Amino acid sequence: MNPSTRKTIVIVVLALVGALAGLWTSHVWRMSTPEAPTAAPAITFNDLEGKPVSLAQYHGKLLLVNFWATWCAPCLKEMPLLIQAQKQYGARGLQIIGPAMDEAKDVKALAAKLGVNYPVMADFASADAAMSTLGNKQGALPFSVLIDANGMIVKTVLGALHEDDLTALIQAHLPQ
Amino acid sequence: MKMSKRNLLNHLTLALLLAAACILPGFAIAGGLWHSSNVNSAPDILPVDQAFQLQPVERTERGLKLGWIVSTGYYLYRERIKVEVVEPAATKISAPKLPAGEKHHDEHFGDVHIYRGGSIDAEIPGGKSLGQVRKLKISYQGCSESGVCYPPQTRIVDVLAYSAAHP
Repeated sequence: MNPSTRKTIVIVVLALVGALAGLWTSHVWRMSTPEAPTAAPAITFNDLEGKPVSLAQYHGKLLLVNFWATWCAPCLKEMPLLIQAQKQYGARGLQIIGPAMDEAKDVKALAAKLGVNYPVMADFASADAAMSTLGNKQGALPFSVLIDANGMIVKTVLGALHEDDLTALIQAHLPQ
Repeated sequence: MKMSKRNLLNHLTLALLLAAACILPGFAIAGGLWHSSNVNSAPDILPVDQAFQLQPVERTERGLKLGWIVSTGYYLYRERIKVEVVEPAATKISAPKLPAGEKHHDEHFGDVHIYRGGSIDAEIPGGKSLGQVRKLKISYQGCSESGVCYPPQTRIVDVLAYSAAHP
């Protein structure tokens, strides 16, 4: 075998190794993707006037449930982003709701101060139980759950939402 | 036929490009999957009692000693630490003497003080006048540096007898 042929074989082998590495990488990442979307459980909160608000009543809309509290700095930091998202995508089917682990008077005052343009609730026990049902066992905040128009949970996020990620998620799941 | 150095370099470059062309789609697929299909996105955080380890309350000659061990990557708010007496009911005590903590300005909370990972020792002064205090209610609240906060915590704890605290 002359040197030129040998080098050609080496190149082909390298390319094959690269191809196999590519296939393996994509396979591993696919396999490690967590569970598929699941149906949102039946959850009801009480609004600031004590009236029940259920997740089911928003069926047909893209629902973002954002758990927050007045004592949670990262929650307050992300709220302008949510206010903007409600303003921008509300007419296209987005509905944000904000159950707070807090006292009603504190929630009312802060929501007014921040100009919150979506329904907020103050119901510590219900919010805590709902978060646990939705997989947030520590009860840490902020915690957001995106439920599509068919009532399927498509994303849960523990921690503050980032503008780019939120926009991409909303645009990907807005009702058709 | 002997291959020139230039040809060898060209072949190697071609091989690297082919390998990259094969590997990169894998990462692209992986990235796309993360953004579109991962249902759960969450930082790993400790259970609250590991993040903020409340230490036993000890009776000392000067009063009562309490404290926390805050895990690295977590912080407690100084202004959210409160201590009340549960037994005997309606017993008044002084506010705990706490370390100064680290100054922190928050756009919503204003100027506050936080305790980052490490040991916090506090003292409730009162000497022998606290001899009857048997149970305390201790409240505190803190967060993870990863950007999530735990709900306010309240613990009812026994005050260790002087002999138990200082065998």
